[in-house]
Amino acid sequence: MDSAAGNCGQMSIDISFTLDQSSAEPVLEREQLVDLFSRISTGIGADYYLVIQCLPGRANETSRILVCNWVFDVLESVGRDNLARIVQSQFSTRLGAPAKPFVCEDLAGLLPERAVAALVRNGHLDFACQQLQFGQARYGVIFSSAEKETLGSAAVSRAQMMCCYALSRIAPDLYVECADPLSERERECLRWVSEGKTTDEAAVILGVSSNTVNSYITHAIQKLSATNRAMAMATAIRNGLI
Amino acid sequence: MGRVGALAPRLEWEEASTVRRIARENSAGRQAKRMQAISVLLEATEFSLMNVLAGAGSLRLVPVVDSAAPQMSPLTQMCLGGHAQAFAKAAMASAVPAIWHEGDARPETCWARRIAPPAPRSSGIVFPLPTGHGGGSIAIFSAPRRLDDETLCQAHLECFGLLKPAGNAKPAGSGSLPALSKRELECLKLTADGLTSEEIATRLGLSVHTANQYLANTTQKLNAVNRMHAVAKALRAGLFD
Repeated sequence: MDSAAGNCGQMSIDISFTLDQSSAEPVLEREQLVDLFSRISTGIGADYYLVIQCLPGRANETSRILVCNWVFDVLESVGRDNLARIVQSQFSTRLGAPAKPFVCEDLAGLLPERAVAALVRNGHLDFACQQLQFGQARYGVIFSSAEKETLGSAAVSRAQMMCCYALSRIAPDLYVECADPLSERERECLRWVSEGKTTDEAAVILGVSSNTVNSYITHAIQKLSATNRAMAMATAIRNGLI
Repeated sequence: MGRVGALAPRLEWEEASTVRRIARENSAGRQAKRMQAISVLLEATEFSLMNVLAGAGSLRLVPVVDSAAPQMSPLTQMCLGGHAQAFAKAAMASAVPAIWHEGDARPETCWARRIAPPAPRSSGIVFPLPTGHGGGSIAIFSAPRRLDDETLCQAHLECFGLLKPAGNAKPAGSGSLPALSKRELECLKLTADGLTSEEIATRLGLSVHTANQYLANTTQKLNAVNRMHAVAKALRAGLFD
């Protein structure tokens, strides 16, 4: 078997949880999610975990922390925006790709100095970060450890797969819908744009006037906080809206 | 495999395409071996790897590896049959593996979700391997007998290992999109970020004409009708994020 998947070393990670017998498709409530992430962290030798949900197209709130066991001071010093930056950086791996652990110093170019200093001061020295996206939900998972070089790629890769499973099953109230989702017509217009249709062609297809199509697209641009239709279309595709 | 270098003679077009075909077949052979190994892990009977190409609102399944190659296994035929769209959609609907089986027996794993069987009296599991936005690949195994949490996780990771690493994550032999140059990809990314040709030219230190030329190249290479279409195709194929 390929060593990228491999075994996870001495510790095995227990990801079972009590199955809710009454429901065919079990969901995880917050407590269960916290418990699961704690077990996963311990299993890979990490001291801290943090799960952040990145929200598209909202002017004021670009990310939201779902669960974490970080000390509040550190969270405040580092800030959500910087955490989102880590998740979107090249240090973060995508689903299925082998994990790429890194150390705090590597973040020097990405985050302001005080943020990096805060991390070092508070025992976040070794990191592994993953980006997950299913449909409209986009998450980042950051594991960190107080000792350097403790997070191994093979173990973390497996753990990341489990995180993916866990996050796919969270209860609806834990997950934030993006504000002002597109209307069906706006979605349709963007879909046709993504198929290379011009405004006039889309108007013919949808049986409305070109002005109407332009107006739908303008609304979509506003809702997605985009600057033009290319960006709106790209944002919509990236967030599983079309 | 032909070696490209100063001393190697330049291959004629036909020879070059033969070399490419052999390379594809060889890597398809490697993929088949790895799928066979995963199949053994799951104690399954047949296996199939397919690419999922996302258009606007529809999905297309393209087989890549098959346990019965060069024939098409009953599993592949079943999945490409009448309910292919519904099956593809259900498979890609989530990052979690999907299983189908007759009756109400509760599977050992609590993580997999249940989907409608593509054919009656069958059972199987499909591992979604999303690469682009909405598209990617799926690895399907029929009648798996070993499905505990550990095995599921392990198998899924191994399935991801079947795809070509980094860059273009499509399995080899998918006949997929030709490679874009670094500059072309950059121009495409910036277009997706909402920049106009002038802004792209300034950002990259090119003339507007050159930037437009790069974008025209991508449109042609990706078989798109205009640059919006090119951006959408590139995003969906996972050529950039």
